[in-house]
Amino acid sequence: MIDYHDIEFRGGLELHQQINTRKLFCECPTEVRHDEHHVTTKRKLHAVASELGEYDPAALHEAHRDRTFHYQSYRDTVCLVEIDEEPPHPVNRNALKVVAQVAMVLNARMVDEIQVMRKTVIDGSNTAGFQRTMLVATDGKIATAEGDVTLQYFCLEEDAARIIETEGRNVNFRLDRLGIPLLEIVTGPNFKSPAQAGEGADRLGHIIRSLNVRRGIGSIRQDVNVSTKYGTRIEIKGVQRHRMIPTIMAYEAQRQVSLYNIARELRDRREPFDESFLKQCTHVLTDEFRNSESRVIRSVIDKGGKVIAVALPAFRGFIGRELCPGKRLGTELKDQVLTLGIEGLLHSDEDLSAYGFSAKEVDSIRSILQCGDNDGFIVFASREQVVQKALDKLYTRIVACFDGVPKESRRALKDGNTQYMRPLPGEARMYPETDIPPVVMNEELKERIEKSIPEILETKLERLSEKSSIPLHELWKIEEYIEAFLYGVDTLGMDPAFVYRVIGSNVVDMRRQTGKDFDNGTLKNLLEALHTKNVLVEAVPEVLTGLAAGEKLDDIITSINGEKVNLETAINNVIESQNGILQNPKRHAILMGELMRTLRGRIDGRTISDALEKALKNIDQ
Amino acid sequence: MSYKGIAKQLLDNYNVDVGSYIILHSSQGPYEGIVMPRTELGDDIHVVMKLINGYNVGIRIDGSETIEPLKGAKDVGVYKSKTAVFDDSKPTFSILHTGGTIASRVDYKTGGVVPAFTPEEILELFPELERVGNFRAYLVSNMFSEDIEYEHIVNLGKGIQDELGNGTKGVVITHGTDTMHISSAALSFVAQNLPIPAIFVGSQRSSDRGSSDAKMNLMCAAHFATNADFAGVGLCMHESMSDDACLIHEGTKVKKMHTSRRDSFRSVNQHPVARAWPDGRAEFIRDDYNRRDESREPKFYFNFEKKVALVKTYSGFHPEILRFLTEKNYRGIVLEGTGLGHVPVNALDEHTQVHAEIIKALADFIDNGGVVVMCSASLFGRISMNVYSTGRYLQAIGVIPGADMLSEVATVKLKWVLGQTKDREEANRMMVTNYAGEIAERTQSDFFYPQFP
Repeated sequence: MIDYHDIEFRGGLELHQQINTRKLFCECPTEVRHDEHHVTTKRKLHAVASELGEYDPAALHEAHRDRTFHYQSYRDTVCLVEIDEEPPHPVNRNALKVVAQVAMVLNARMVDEIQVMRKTVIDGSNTAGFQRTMLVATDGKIATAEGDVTLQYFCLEEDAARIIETEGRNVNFRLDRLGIPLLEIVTGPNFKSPAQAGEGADRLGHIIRSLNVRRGIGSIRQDVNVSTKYGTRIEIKGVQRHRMIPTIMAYEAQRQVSLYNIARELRDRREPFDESFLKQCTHVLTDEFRNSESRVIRSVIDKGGKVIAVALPAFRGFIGRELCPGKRLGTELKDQVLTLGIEGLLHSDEDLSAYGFSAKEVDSIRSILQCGDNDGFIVFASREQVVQKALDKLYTRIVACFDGVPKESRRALKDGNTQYMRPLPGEARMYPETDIPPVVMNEELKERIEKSIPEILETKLERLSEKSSIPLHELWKIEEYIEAFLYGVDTLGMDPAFVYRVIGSNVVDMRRQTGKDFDNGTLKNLLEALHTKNVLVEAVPEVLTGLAAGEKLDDIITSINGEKVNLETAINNVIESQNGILQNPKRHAILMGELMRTLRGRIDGRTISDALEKALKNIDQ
Repeated sequence: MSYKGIAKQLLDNYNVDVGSYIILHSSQGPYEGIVMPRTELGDDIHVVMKLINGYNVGIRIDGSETIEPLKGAKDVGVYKSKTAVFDDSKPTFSILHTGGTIASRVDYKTGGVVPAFTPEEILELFPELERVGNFRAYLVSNMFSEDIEYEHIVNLGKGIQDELGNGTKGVVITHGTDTMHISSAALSFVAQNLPIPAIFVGSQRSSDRGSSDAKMNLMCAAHFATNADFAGVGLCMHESMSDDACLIHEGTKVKKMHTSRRDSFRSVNQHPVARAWPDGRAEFIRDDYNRRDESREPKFYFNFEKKVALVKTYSGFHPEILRFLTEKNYRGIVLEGTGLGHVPVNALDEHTQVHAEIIKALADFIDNGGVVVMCSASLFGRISMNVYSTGRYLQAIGVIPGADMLSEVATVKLKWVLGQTKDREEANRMMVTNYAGEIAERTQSDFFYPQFP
């Protein structure tokens, strides 16, 4: 167990939340689409000098890949602004309002005159070659159990295009997402533990979701950064689920400690070596493997590829060492060459027979590479064109093992692990967007925004809990449906316990069973129907099943109510079908059970029971 | 640095300049960063700073602020320049720069846009130019295209003359896009019978952004100017919104047809000459163009008449403007009329009595020795003033039908014509004579919303 105080853990968060308005710099709707696109525009991007006359290393990294970007767009929901064929329109004031609201709730200091900036991005995800962004406020604060955390920056920026697929040097992007307004909150590196970061993220999420923001998959993304005294500041991009934040941070801290330990132990074994030394340790073994049993290797050789092995003096035991759960040093090396299409990078610390290597082959590699007892090796098969690139990347990473944690941006994986993404971007990568006039945040505007701040979720739930005596933690479980909940309770005046039963159990159960989610609008309509007795509470599961199957609420209600039932006929039919029932002392209960089986949800139980009793009485007389 | 009023006073009080690294203590708290330039039209109550996180923000100044200068002022805007090496085995072309975004960069000291005009600076922006050959580069003027005057076109002509003397294989003229087609038309009359290509090129997205079309347009233009079997004035811009190929349009038959798209330049009443790719490939779309012939003697005409006006007519047009031009002794008018070449000249009821004055004003202008040429606001198609009585009437008083010329092209042509002759009859004759491809004799069915091969 890591002592986070001991390793001087410092965590930070960057939250990106889509805002639910039109696009930031044009009037297009913020609609993410899945139908066939209408237009494709093909572009190249170039590295440009930064404001300080320097080239950004991250930008160069992308430029060297010489790729062609294919931008897919829709005539009716994407305009020339997203295609970079028309200058941006002025900043969307409604989107700006949302960022200002968050900043005010979190006691931040508003910027007096907001200037739009261009942030160089040439991975193709922005047609312009830069992302437009503006600083709206600074120095907010959020409380956690372990103390206050500084919120350094509140920004408003445009979302990037969506990557659809990559085929070699061609990358397809869709422009529906480009330009959706994004609220960005950057915390200071103040989190002292992963748990505290988790709590902070939760609280920020509650506040953000009280405002006019988009919901659902992809509407919020988080980046985290972690540093420890054993490593360096590592940026981890693209955390999809905020519940993973503590795990990702804990794994990264552990990874840094492990890499530090490996560096220390390596240096105990030998002097550090450099790239040119590794070049001497590299051998082409294509001929030796021409008849290999290993399928990974053979399939590449058959396509004209090469087999390369590199001896790693003093590395035995380290390559296979676990850095954090699910991640070994060997995996780090594999990650370096993944983007080059090299999948099977194998190493001496793993069981090579699992990949079809015979013991003889392993011995022959060791002898060709002149591996001693302490030495390890890596072996991989690759297309000839990328061999040198792969080796360059691997050499750099291997040499860096003597120094511990390399500076880089990493990508978050679903299991809490991370993967090498690209070198850390340089600092000088922002310059002014001259096409958009600045926005002056004067007192009058600030006042107007302050007045428009809606009730924050936390306050809302506390109020609701008090009113309904439903425990607060239960309400948090249905937080995403709280809008519908409040509509039922506040607007329609329904019984909170009743609404909670519908949403907290029926809806949640149905979502669990079917995996289908329900939006607040539909649930509001359902509550309305329940309120007017257009739908009976017994019919709720049936309604939800229909909704989950994609049917429309109105159609479901019509179909349920359409089967008009004559209660009297139904009762007579049931009595007739049950021979001798009239003499049975439990006749009411039995008949009731039969009737409910067919009438549940259509007529409410009490009405049936009353009518049945009346009918039986009539017969008795 | 464009700071004014209270903001300037604050900076002056602390002897702080653009680029200084400071902490500004405002009533809201401290801001640490670099002082950035203020745009010319910005107000005087904000100081712009680049904070440590890279963002620029404007800080409101009320006079109560203090500044704490820090060490380590950043020297903003130092560009590295690349040394151009002359290689005798490669062809040499020339770049004449007139301004515009294509070969400009942001000066981070002033916040303004400055041209890159030495070969070293251009090479730093576009290192791929080396692949085309050696080049010499000159700054002819440095301005937005709308500020270009005929004198600048004359200077361009002289620049080409000089470069021909230096043995250039082709000339590339970088230009702002708004009026690039007007300059290309004007140069077509100033520099006739050229032995080599002179290709205008611009960009719709500035070269300081990754998505700029500058590089591709410039590479296409440079290759085409240096190597293509073509002579005369052309204009090279994107064919589509994609970075696929550029089109080489004839200098007198092209117009900027869109405010912002990369492919805003379209040939009107003519097909483009060729399609060019940034790797040097080119394919000709037409075959009636002038071939490269380095022995051909070019003709330069540096005289022109300034007093020529382009007048757009419309429903509700009044004659005052025409009378004004006569009074001011203007020598030529290009009328942008409607349809086949009409202006309101018929007095039909009490609302149209003023039309009789229009025809009189035109007749007076012509009687005063002026030349009047008719073009059409319809852009596409040819003037025909024989179909309706209006047209016949206008011809009777001496208005010259402008064939299929674009009105801007007819305007620069009339300036040139009146620079060559003061004789009205001769000028009329010259206006309907084709000198530089400005008049196409045939109107092909596929010229309108063209589908070229």
